Amino acid sequence: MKKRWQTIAATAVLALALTGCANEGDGMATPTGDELVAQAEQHYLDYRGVTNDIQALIFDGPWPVEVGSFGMQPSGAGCPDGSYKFDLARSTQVDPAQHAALSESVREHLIEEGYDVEGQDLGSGEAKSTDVIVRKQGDFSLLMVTFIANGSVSVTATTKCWPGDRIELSDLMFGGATLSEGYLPREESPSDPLFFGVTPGEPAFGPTPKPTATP
Amino acid sequence: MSLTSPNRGWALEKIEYDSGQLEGIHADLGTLGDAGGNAQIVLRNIDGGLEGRGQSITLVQSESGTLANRMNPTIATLGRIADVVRAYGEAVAVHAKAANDLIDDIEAAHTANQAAIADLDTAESSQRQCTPDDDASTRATAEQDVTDAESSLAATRSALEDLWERWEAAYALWDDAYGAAVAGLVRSDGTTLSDATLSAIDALANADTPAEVTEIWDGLTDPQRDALRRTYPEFIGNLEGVPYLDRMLANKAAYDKIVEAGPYGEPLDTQFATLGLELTDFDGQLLMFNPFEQPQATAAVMYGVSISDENGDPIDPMEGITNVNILVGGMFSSLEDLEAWGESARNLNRYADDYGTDAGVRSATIAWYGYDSPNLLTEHTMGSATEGAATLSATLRGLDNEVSSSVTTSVIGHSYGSTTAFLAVGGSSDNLGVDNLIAVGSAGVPDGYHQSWTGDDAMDYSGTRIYASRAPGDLVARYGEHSSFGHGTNPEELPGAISFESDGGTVPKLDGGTENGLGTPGHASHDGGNTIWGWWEQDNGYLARDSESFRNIANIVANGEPL
Repeated sequence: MKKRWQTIAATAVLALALTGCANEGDGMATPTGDELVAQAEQHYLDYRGVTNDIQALIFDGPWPVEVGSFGMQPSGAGCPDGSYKFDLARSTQVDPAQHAALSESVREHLIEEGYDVEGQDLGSGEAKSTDVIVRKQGDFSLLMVTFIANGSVSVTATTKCWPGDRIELSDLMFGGATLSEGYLPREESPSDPLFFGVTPGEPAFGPTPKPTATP
Repeated sequence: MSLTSPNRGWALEKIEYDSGQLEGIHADLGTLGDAGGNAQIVLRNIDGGLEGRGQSITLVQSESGTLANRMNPTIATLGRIADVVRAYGEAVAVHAKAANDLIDDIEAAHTANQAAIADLDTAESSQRQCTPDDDASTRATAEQDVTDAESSLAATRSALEDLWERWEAAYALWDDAYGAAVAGLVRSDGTTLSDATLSAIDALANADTPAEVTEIWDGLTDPQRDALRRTYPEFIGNLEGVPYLDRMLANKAAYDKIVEAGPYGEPLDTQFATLGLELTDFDGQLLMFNPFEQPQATAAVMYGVSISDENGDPIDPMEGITNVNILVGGMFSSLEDLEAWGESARNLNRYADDYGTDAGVRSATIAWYGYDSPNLLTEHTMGSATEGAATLSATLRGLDNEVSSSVTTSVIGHSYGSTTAFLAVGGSSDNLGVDNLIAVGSAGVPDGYHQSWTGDDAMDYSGTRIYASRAPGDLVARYGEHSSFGHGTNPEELPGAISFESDGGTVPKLDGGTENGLGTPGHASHDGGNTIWGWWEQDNGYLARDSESFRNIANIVANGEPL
């Protein structure tokens, strides 16, 4: 009896461990080369469609862009080996008087799109913040819209992990180009056409020769 | 006992060295050089004496000769490095030993001098209590006691001063030898530079503070600075006091050079690839880079700064920055985790800026991997923290020199990273300019046992605000504290420390009422990162952007208080 109990326990632990490690693509061949890029582009366009819709509800003009959080770069943070994700963040300022209505409209939109939505209120006064949160649904590991009483509003999104080598994918998409050297826009409106990848040596957003000396 | 020398202001500390190891390195370098020489002989014999005819034979002869000649500079460099190691080994054996041998005597003399001061104070107090009604004998005895105490104090003071003088002289000679060794290693590749530039290398290598380095750097001409950046990027890139722009450019050049010369095998190749993506894809700037540090590579990457403007012209990366944050990881952290820590650094910049919009906050955050993080066996001790604190305090001194005093500096340590961070700040003999010291999931910070064991003064956090949080289910942090030898203090219990929440608390439901928010379930720092327990505590780590703990940190950084 004791042995049987141990077997069941060991099986249960193994099952739990396997569940914890599961990610899309387990059991499938890991894409490489053109297939990897094609899949990644589709994932990117899909999730950016959702985030752009949310941004448009809040402010349909240009949002400032920070290169490291642009959202097109594959990252392995928090992903099992051999998989990648995308991570995006944008912030803007909106009259705090509109926050409650905007928060509600974001929530309704997400529910209409089929997501279960959570909320979170933190802090008080000018630092009081309200989050509208989608966790582990659709393409997203975490999708969050944060309204802060001082007027700041941020949209942040982390996708789930997809199979594929992030280093190979980055090389295929960017060719080793340093993205801060004019390869990404400095601001972007939700309605701007999306693009995927860059052409090394041809920065599309301004001249940026490398600095070489103390200013 | 923490003492400072009276004339030079140097902390009385033991100079760590290992003469046997230095001799071993010298011998190994000599062996390498000899082996290189032997290989040259073989190659030259092939070049001049390989028998036979035909294109292949001619090619082998020619290639062998070329290869033999190409080995010359490497063999010469090995010889120069061996000479530097030998010279330093000889100097350290004499001067460091002399300085170290005086430490016990100085501490004893200091104690005797303190006792003599107390005796004189007692004697003078007794004499003041004498009244005209006391008999002459009593008054004479009191006066004699004062005279004797003054005489004893003069003797102990003189003895102490003499010992300090001898220690400072020995320490200065070791310091000079150390500077000469650093300069010698920098110049060991035999690159031809002007005398003025070589002199600058000597001066930089011998500078004792970041401010001195800055002064020397500012005194160089543009061509000299260019030459140093071009020829010795690994030296310039890690030298505190060199402007951050120059360091970032130098470290990127060093990184490119190192990667081009690879591969090196695992884990270095993956670590370098990960680091490369942070620089090219995620706009990280390399502030520190020691790729072959043992037992693990060390580096620091700064996020939220730019080194060029929209036209591509160089700019001061710290221009407009109001807050600098340093993230220090704990057990098992290494460059392989850089993606997760880089993401947290970027998130912290964003949320701190958003929470601090009214105050005009603009943040930059450093993901700092400057030490050999501990494993399950070594996390109980202070070994890794002591080593890490020395490096981290150097980073913080450099940062304090780089930015104005109006910039708010916050150090955020997770797990054993808080042990290291608190030792760096609290154990430093000088003010490192840290405004906020924040611990999450702390494995404990230096305690009385550490103090009694090392003989150091108690931790001094003056001028630094302390914040700390531990999730209710974080058993690893509590185990770390209670099983430790030297870091058994819960930072939340330090005087003046402000606790903040990481349990998620009670939050309003979107459709009315309240519910329990998602707290940090265990010990993890990120979503799926740096956890020894694996899958079950992957989400809502202390630094995940939806965690209560992280948002508290962002508001502390921006506004000086938790939410």
